[in-house]
Amino acid sequence: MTRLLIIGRLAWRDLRLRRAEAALMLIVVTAATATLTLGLVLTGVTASPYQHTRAVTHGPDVVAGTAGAARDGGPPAALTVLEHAPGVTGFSGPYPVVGPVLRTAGRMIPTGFNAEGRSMAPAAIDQPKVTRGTWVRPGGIVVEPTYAAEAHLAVGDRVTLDGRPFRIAGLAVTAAEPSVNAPGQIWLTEADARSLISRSDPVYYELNLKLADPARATAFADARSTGGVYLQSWQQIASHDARQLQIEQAALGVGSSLLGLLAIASLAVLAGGRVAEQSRRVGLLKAVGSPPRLVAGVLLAEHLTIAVAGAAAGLAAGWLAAPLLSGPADGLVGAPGAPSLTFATAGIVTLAALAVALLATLGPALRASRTSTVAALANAARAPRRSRLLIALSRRLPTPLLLGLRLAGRRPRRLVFSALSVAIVVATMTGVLNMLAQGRVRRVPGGLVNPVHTAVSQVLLVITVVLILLAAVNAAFVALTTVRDSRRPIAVARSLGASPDQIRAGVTASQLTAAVPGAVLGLPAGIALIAASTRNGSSVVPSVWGLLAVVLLALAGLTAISAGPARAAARQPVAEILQAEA
Amino acid sequence: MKGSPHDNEGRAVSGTVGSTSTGSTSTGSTSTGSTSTGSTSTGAADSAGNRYLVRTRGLCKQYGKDDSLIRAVDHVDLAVSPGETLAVMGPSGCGKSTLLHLVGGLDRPSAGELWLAGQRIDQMSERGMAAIRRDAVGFVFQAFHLMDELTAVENIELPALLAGRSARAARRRAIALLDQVGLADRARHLPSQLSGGQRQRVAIARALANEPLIVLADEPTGNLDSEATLEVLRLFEELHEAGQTLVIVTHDARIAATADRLISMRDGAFVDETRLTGGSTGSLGQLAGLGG
Repeated sequence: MTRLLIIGRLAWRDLRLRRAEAALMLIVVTAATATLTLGLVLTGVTASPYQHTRAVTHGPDVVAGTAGAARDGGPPAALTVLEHAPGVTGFSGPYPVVGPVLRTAGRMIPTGFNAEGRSMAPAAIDQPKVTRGTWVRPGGIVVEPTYAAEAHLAVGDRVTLDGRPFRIAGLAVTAAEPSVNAPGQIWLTEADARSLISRSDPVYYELNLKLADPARATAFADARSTGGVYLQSWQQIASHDARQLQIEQAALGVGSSLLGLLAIASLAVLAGGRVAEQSRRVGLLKAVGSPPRLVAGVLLAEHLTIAVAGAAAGLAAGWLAAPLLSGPADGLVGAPGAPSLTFATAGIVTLAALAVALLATLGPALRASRTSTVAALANAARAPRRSRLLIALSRRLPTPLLLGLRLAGRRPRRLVFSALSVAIVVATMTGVLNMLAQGRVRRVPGGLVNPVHTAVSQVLLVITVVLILLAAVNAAFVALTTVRDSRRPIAVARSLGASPDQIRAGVTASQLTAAVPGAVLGLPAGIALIAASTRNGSSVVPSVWGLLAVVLLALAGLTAISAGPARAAARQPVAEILQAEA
Repeated sequence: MKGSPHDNEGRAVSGTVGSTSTGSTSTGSTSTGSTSTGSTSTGAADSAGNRYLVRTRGLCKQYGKDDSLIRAVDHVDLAVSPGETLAVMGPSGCGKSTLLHLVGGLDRPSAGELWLAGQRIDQMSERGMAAIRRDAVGFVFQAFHLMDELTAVENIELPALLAGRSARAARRRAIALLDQVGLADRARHLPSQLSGGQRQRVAIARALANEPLIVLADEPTGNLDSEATLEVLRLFEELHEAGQTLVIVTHDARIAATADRLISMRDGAFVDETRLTGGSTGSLGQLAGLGG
């Protein structure tokens, strides 16, 4: 008990003493856990908004449609016969459906849509829920919100259908059509719909059915989808809707994995750096009789505390952000996210954060506990590694590169983590480029963008921003740690005649030594990730110029981040360091 | 060690401190205050036209201010002639190492003038100071300050590589220096695989890599045992005989006894100067009291 108290007290004091580093670690854990939370939260909510919408709108169990009308212009018998099919307990319709050309302010909306004629009175089955404005009236149409958003249509807008003027009376959601669908959905009065029927715009019909056993709706639909009648069960519509969130989940899953890797790399560097800086403190603890376990315990306690705090912050951030990432659910009633943050989700996220912190800290903590007391008291830096290849290679290079390669080669583990960090950022940015390229390909001239693509782009953008921020924090800390860790060799190099400019360039080069291979590896990794996450073959490999721009951007960013520490390295007092470390 | 670049004949017999002390015996000394200048000229030469490799006038280095003001170097006037070996002694904290760092351009003085190799360096840019350190100065530190991850030969060639010499020329020079310090068979050993004396010999070889005008040694035997001290002493003697200018800061009277001139410091100022006749002409073993 006493030992635990001592560990707690020492850990708390050290955290307060080194607030900046603790804050950096907190940011890293928070970012990683927030993304993980988003992924987990969205996993459990794919069905709930649709089911809620279905309940609110008295959604049909089966929607039946025809490809054309009967000779007399009315609904064909193949459709009307379903009204009395075995197992059917109720129906609404058949409603006439036309596909006119829609223009707004002289602009044609090229994406097709269904214009369904409806009664002004509420229907028993499938009564779309008006979310804005009012229901249909003569000359007033109602638009499905996802389509309205993509086509930039709002309540009160004047539009024309096949040249006839209409005004948008309202927006409404339905469970009879997938919310993310092309063509879009518009409702208007039955009379208005019939007035649009022409030779070039034939009519067809839709019928909504209620079954005695809604669970068997798919079997019912499959058995009767013949002879020009197409049936769709509510489960099939729900599945189509869920696809949106499934794609978001896939993007989040990849993003969470990348962030997790980056978090491990960042925490390993942070923990290693903190331990290296606490050498004298470790020596003092040992000198006054602390056993090695206590030394390791203090370091672990510090980092696990940060991990728990970071996990809590990440859970809150992920929970709050989840509804923002479900844009196309505009077409549904109810928001995903908030209800599905369960104890299990919180437990998984917290455990993941603790595991990452433990993985990153265990090595440095054990190393610190095993350090000899005398060496620790003398603040002796960890012996650097000898990289024969880099040393031999650097002999033939200009001074800044010579210094850079040798500084980098002293800490190969840090080199690998830095390369990994840059590779992750470049891979993610390659993914973003891919999304942009897909957007360009999928957008017909002047046309609409698939809303699924828009939503995934938003998710990827969030992940990219978080990843880049995290990588920037990581790069800044690696550069700072490199400079602190290399105080003596830099001072010796200065005493041997290296100029401040050469030192500055050398420190930057040391950071680029890891970044360049990381960036080069990140490109194929990014392309592989794209291929893996788009199994339907819809991926588009970005142009060579785009990829080159990504690499150059990443390297330029790293150079900018390293500039501060590099300047500090060039300014450090040589004589003082050589005297202090004598 | 290398061809003597400096002719001992005709050089100034002493620095500006105690300039009246000429060719005294090993015990002869002249007590001097730090305000003694002995020269009215400016720059690297005195009024008699003697040119010095190092010259300082009123050199000061202060830390802190008001009540906490520390005068690490307090109005020091110094002149070191080419080929001369100068020993600086004094208690810990008297400012010896600080003076050495100032002379070598590792630190900047708070006041005063400092010439090195004919150039005034106290107001020189950092880039210029780096060039001076690279081309004109070789440092030897008490803690060796070798790069732990580099082998002996890689440590020695480093200054030449930093100076922009070709890798081949730098390696050739490093191997020759290793041979001269008696460590040809240790070329591929890391510092951790060498004894203290061997490390210091590598450090001395490194200091000579760019054929410096002056070697500044800060407590070069401070971390060494008697045997290793003797090895280093022999090396310095060889350097001295070859005409290498040396300034050695030391606590060790045996090292100081091998110098041409000994300056004592206290509280940042010169308090005594002794011209020694021993120097390179004396028996090193006897002077060092190590036998042999």
